[in-house]
Amino acid sequence: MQTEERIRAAAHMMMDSIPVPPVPLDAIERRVQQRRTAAKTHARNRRPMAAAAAVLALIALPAVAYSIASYEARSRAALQQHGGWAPPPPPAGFLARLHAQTVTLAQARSLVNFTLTAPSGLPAGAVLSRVDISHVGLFDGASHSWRVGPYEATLRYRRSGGRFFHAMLSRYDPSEIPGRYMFQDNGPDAHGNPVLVRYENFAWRNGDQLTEITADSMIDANEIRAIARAMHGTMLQLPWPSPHRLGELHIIAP
Amino acid sequence: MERLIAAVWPEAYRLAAAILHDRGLAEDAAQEACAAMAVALASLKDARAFRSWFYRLVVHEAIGVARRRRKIASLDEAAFQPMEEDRAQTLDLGNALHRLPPEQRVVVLLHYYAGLNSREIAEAAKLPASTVRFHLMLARRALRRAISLAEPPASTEVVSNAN
Repeated sequence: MQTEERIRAAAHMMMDSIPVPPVPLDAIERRVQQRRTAAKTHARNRRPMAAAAAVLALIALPAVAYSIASYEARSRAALQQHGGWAPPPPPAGFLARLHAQTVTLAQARSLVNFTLTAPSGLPAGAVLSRVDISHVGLFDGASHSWRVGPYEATLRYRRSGGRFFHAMLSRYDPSEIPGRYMFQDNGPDAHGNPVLVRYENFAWRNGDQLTEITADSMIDANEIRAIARAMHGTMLQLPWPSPHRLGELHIIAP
Repeated sequence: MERLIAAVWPEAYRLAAAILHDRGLAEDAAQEACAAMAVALASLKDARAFRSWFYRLVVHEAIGVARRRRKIASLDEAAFQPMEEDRAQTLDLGNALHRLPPEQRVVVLLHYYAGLNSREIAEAAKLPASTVRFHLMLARRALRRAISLAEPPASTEVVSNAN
């Protein structure tokens, strides 16, 4: 391995090995209020404008490394446009309940409600670098409500050239088959036109486990199919648009 | 905003922890950085600059927290617990990364982990770009040395003594 790659790998290993505590939203909110109160004494008339603009800036953020926040809103818009239907936005604070936590593979196995089988037949050089678990957020079209679903595990694999990909493992439920496509809005291009990227999902079943991997620049469809074959999984035909009108929110730590 | 904070929190915490080597201080710094981001997000004119802008907040808060606690990052090496010898041999590059002076460690992590270029690191760490490149050069040299030490030359091969 080249020196640069080894240093990069060491940096990723060092950072990935640091366990992250849950997001202390209440504490951060208190600090936000403290800062705003302090700023108010200096610029009383500016704060309302700043707060209003913050919402617009959030929407305008590019969905790249920090895509999770914008993914939810943007993907709903894309689903509406290309799938003909999208779930309503989740209630305030809902997303924070889905936060991811880094665990070991053994811990993940003890927390999920299915028999966790780690993917095999990985592309050459792919190394498991992190295991996160998070609750999945589910929108039920029948009850028209969001609920916090069971744990799913996200396995992050590092590849050469700084690439990485994720495999999402969850309990197989025939009534909750994922849709064939995932949309990501990468924000406006140089001409101000929206750039919408469509990715194809692949999913297969092993016993009570559903494995999902999305093809993108980090891993292609053939490599994903090779993993499914090595795991002897039953490939699922993913519907599009989803006839079940189910919404799913997955949180993947950046 | 909650969603954005939830998204950036892991990066903020990990970067602060890598600088401070103290979980409590890291959480303090990461919380401050997230709060600063929430308050100042409106001032960000170019959304594409979000990453380097946010990293700058984290680095700034981490150094500020360390100073407030009279534990300036560069003096915090005492908090670093050296690894056991056998483990150090297998993880010597990571160990060498840990042992870098804080300013070099920050630059290395921002470059190799966060993927920022020297200009973006200069903005994030409030350093001249030339200083960033200098720190990177020193860090690479130290890390290369760690790699070369980890790979014993052929001359160290053990041969049995004939009795």
